Amino acid sequence: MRRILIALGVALMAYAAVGAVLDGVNLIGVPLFLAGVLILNDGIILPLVIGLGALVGRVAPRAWGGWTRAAAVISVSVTIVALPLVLGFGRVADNPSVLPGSYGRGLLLILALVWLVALARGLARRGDPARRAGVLVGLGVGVAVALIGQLRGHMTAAAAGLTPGSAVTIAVTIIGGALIGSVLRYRPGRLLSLITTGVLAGLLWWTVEWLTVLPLFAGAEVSWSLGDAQASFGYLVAAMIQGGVTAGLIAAVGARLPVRTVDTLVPPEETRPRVLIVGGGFAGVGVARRLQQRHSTAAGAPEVVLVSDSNYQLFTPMLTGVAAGTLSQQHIGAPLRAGLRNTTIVHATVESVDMAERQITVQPEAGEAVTMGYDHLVLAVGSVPDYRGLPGLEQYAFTLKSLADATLLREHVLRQLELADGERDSLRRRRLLTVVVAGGGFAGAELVAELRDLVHSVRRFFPRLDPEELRFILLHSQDRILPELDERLAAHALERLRAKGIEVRLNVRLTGVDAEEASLDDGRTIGTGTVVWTAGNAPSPLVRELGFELERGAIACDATMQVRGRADVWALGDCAAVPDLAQPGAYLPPTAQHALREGTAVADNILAVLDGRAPTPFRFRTIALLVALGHQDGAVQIGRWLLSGRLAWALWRGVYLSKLPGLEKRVRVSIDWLLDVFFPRDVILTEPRRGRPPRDRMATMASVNVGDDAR
Amino acid sequence: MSVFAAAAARQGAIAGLVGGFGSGLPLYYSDLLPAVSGMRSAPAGLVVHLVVAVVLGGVFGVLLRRRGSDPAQVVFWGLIFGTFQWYLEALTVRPLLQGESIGWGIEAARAALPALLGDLLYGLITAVVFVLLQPAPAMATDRRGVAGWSAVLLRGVVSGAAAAGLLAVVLGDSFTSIATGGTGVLALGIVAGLGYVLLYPAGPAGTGPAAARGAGLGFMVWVVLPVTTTPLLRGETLPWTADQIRALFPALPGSLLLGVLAAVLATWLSGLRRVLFADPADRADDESLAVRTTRALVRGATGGVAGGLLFTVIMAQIGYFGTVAQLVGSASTGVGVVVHLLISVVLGASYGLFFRGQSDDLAAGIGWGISWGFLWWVLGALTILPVGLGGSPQWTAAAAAAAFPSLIGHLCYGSALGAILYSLEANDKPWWIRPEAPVSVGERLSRRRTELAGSAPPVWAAIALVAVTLTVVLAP
Repeated sequence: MRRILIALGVALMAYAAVGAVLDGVNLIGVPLFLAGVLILNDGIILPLVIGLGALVGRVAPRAWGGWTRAAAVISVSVTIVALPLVLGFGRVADNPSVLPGSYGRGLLLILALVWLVALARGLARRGDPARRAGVLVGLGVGVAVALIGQLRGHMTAAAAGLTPGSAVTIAVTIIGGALIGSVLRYRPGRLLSLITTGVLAGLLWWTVEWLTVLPLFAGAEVSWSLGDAQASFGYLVAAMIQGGVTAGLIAAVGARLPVRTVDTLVPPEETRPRVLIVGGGFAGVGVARRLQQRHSTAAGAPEVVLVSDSNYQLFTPMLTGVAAGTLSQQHIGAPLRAGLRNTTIVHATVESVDMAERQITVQPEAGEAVTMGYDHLVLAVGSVPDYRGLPGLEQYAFTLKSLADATLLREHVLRQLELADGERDSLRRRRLLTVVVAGGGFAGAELVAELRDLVHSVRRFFPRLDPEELRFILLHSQDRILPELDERLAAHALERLRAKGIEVRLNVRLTGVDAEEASLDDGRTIGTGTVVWTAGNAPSPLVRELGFELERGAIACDATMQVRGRADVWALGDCAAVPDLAQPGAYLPPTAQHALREGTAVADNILAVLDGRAPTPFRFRTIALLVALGHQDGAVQIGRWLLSGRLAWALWRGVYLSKLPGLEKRVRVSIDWLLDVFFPRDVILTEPRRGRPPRDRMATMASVNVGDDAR
Repeated sequence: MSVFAAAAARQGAIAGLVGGFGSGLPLYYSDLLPAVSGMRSAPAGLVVHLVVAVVLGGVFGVLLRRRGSDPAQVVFWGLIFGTFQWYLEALTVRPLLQGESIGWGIEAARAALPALLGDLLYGLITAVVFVLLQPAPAMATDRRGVAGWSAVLLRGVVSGAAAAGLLAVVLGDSFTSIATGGTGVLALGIVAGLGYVLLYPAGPAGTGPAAARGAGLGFMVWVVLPVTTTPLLRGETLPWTADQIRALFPALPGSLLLGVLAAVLATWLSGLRRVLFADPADRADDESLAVRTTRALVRGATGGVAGGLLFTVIMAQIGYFGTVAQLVGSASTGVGVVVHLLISVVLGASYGLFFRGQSDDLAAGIGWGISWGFLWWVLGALTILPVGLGGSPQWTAAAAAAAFPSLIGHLCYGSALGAILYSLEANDKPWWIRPEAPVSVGERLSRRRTELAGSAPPVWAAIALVAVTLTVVLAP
């Protein structure tokens, strides 16, 4: 099919070229014009339309079906293209053959047709019974009005110039009746308001029908003129009466329908299907957010419950910023309760899951365990650091998975500086001043660069430290860091890190850590008090308890993200092994961008299953890979496009800022970044002092006080 | 019919009788009754008028029997009742009874104009009397003491006087000429301000709804004062024929703006207290100020651009872009489009800000949107545009007729804007389905709900009907 189309296109172009040569057209002007068209189309119109489509898709309410959205996009793109003609750009007064047509009328006609189709489709859609009743009543009244209008010919005489002909007038009148009916909804005790609103809707429809649509179809210009209004004044009165009558009938019908008052707009909770999400990371929140925006046609809005052991969604890409002291820790967490207003948030950890009974038991921080039923269970429990059984790591190594980790690491690095400042022994001092990061992936590379920036930016507060003694070491087990990136870009990143004075050791693994040194598999050791482990994560231990089939330690899923063998349990994110349809045998990588998209897809699939449709397999290709390499440096790969340096860094910040949930946090992080330009990073230590405890002065003071009292 | 309904019908009939006298006697003495009632002799016409008034008053009482406790509702319903009555009785039923064809033509409507004013006045008087006839408990549900009421009245006087002063300073003679000079407009302003706080004594509401109510109130002020009372006080006959009303038309936009400004100022005065001094616990609103304002502005601007684009083509057809371009001293159509879109954004963003969370269904969104569009027709097309082009406000019937395409444009734009904004808001857990609202918020929400179920629809309908009907019928 594609080849046929291409061949067809080439043939057409060839025909045009031959014609151009034979007719002897202007060989400079025409290519110029074509180039202009190309630039205009590909450079301006296409991006505009794509952007608009994305915008409409993002902001348009769920109630607007795909048809309305399509109509909006078509209208705007057609309007953009036709507007210069409509506005008469290029029209020459003394040459009537230039732009001779009435383009405005043509465009309006197209727009009217597009919208009539979209509206007719929208009206025919199944919805709630009250709306359907409204549309049907309106339709009936519309038919009656159209008939009366045809029977009473004399009123038409005044508006003869406005009416296109019986068939069109009847069709438009009937659609109008349905539209009026669709706007009106009966609620008990609001009869008068309904009738008044009906009259108003009638008036509005009069402007649409008699001042716009009918003149258009009749071949006249749309002028909204007073003359047209006066000619069709009788129809204004008729339309208002039509609106009032429609409203009255809707009230009469509505009073007999089951009552849907304001308070019962949301169906009672017992009858709604319950989707229970475990995990408040990108994946889990992605599911909840999508379910908040969409709802199933058959079952309405499902009840969404999210169980999470933290009450905020952590924006992990910025964790290094917290560890490096550029960002405040609260600023990169979005409270779940603020972002998910239609979701019940349960702050607890999962105790057990009973698949047979469809029940889950959770344990809040205090009090009794709670058991909840579900119709669909979504597992998005994420991952935990995997130390691969290496000795000493659990006790001595730092990780970077949570806000607490990041804060702890920052405090630890600054504390090492404090200690080193007063340390006379050079061996011990060097140990305090050496930072080892294990794992040359995204997290490791970003972290080692950021920690270096942190130390150097506060170094001047410690004048006794010798900059030469500061060591930052990145260990990586393969022959190149950042294996996900393009080879050239990864090599460039390695070069940049080394240029910053970071020792990057390749093909070497950490074998163990103790309080004083890190040992490597090549037999060497590094004296250090700071080892950060970013070299391995494993799915949360919970997944092993659930008894599912596992794939590389993660829950084995279908491409629809249904857990293998289960239609009502879904798994996604870091804890799931989701097959990559683009590369058979491979699994999707555990990244935030995948987790977010998987969340949306799982939500849509759950709604599909609730509606009795088949779920869709998930396909997603990584859009971009972004890595920050410390101060105003980074590397970005978008498809085959590679970028590094300041621009890449700016892109990193821009992209992640825009992905940060909530306006407030975006503003706060922007301010943090701005302040970081002007002020040094903070060296305050808030964690209680570790190591040797201070002499207990409280005891001495107490004895003095007792003495005072006794006197 | 229940005892309750019978009592309401009786009260309505009494109110209708008073309304009948109130509208009938001036008509009688101005010799307009034969034309209005269709009877040859004036006394017989008065009798017919009174009988109809009593019967319709009874109907009014039954229809509004559950709403008597809310003066704003009843009065706006009275206004809309009068308008409907004109369309149904004067233009439809009466010609049929007299064996003529129904009078839906423009000439017949023009000839029946005195009846429109008579019906409006009748509706208003009947409504006010009906409110006063309500038994004390319904009126006294409000626990305001004397001090509370004097603060309310003071707010009305201050905001009305300030509105009149502001408009007089900004618009100069064009405004002061709607009444007899400065004192006249000051009195008009105070009446508007007092009228507003008496109809809506409860605390702050949204600026947008206040502006819409103010427009309705401004129209009532126009009907009652410059069109009826002032000529009668001067000992003249009622100037209610089409030609005379046309001469009085310039006072209408002025009264509307005055009503809007007085209402908005009164709202802001009571809102200011809340913003500055209210305890955080009483302001347990859902979002922070920054978030909700930004969201409202962005949503409004989105809706504004969409609405603006929607009507670009028709605007081009009408040749509107050339006029707007002159605002910035250009004649180019392209500049006109840009200015038009900028205006759309401003109108949309302001709508988003002022009407945030005020609509609980699509019809309500369209209703508020239409009101906003109409306000901007009066303010923009009739006032700011001519002033911006170096002239003075164009408030004559002829100018309004010439700006009729713009009126339809504003009404359509407003309804599109309102519908889009409603849809955007409905997507994001809207207030009307939020069951767990705290008490302080819940009280405000229930007030909003009551308004949407009660006094808001007649405000929207009155605004749109009056705008279209008067402009079309009064066009030279």
